[in-house]
Amino acid sequence: MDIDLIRVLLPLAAIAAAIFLVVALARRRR
Amino acid sequence: MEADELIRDYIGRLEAASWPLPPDRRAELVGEVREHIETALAEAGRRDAVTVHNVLERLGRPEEIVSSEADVEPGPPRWVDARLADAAVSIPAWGGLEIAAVLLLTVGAVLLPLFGPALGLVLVWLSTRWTTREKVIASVIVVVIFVLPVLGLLAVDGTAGASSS
Amino acid sequence: MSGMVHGETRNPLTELRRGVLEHCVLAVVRDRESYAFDIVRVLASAGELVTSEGTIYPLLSRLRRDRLVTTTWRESDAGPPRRYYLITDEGRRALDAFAGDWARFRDAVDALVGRGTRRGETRGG
Repeated sequence: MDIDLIRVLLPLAAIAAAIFLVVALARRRR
Repeated sequence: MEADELIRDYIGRLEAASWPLPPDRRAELVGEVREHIETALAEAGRRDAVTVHNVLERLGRPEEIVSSEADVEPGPPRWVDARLADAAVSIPAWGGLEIAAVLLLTVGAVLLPLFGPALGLVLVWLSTRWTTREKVIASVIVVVIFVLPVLGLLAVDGTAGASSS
Repeated sequence: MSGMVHGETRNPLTELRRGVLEHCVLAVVRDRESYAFDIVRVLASAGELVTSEGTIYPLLSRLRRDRLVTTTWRESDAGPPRRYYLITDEGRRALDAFAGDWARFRDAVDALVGRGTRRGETRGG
């Protein structure tokens, strides 16, 4: 159960961070 | 408001005049000029038509700004081609490092669990295109969503099941 | 400078300014990071260097492309992140070379032109 949680959480965390970073760069062109 | 109209008109002329530029560079230049106008107005502390007019006067004619993009032999037809052929004119917001970082954080999170996102975060910190604050926020996101619950689980269960590599 | 007409007459000072301005910008960012508007402000306050402030931006783009400066994005209190410019080693070399060239050039021009208005004495095209 713990391993499954990790398998879900890590991609979630990484993708959330990636979305934030993408938006940050996209905003540069304002 | 008249001030905003003046600015819109100016930017419109700049966009029109910059048709020979590669789209990347055109967008970048427009962004830079926009930011210049806003910074100048913020410093002046006013946004009335006279102040805006002065700022735009000091900026110069859009046509002149664009024509100074062409650093090769002067002459209307030839420098357009030379410019378009020069792929390295603009440095877009995204570089190879940034693309790799995002790929590692997304695709890498699935294909290379733990290692992929970790490497992605390292690349984020190596980049010069994200500010330190943005890097910190991204790191905090990862820590909060992933590491804290894991630590919490470890504390509650007391098992060592967290090491997934 | 009269050989530079290609469908548009250019004031001799325009060409001169453009070549010199690049190196003035390098000088501004030699010892400390600056963002674009700051650079414009310093140049404007130094004197009659910039007729059209907007032309600094293409110039900065060229300096980045030629790797004479590097840039870093930093947060600013006044809104969106800003791009900060700093000279590179190659930029330093270019600046040093220019400093020498400029001094010689300036002295030569002063010696000729600074003779005052002696109308009969032209040096050909």
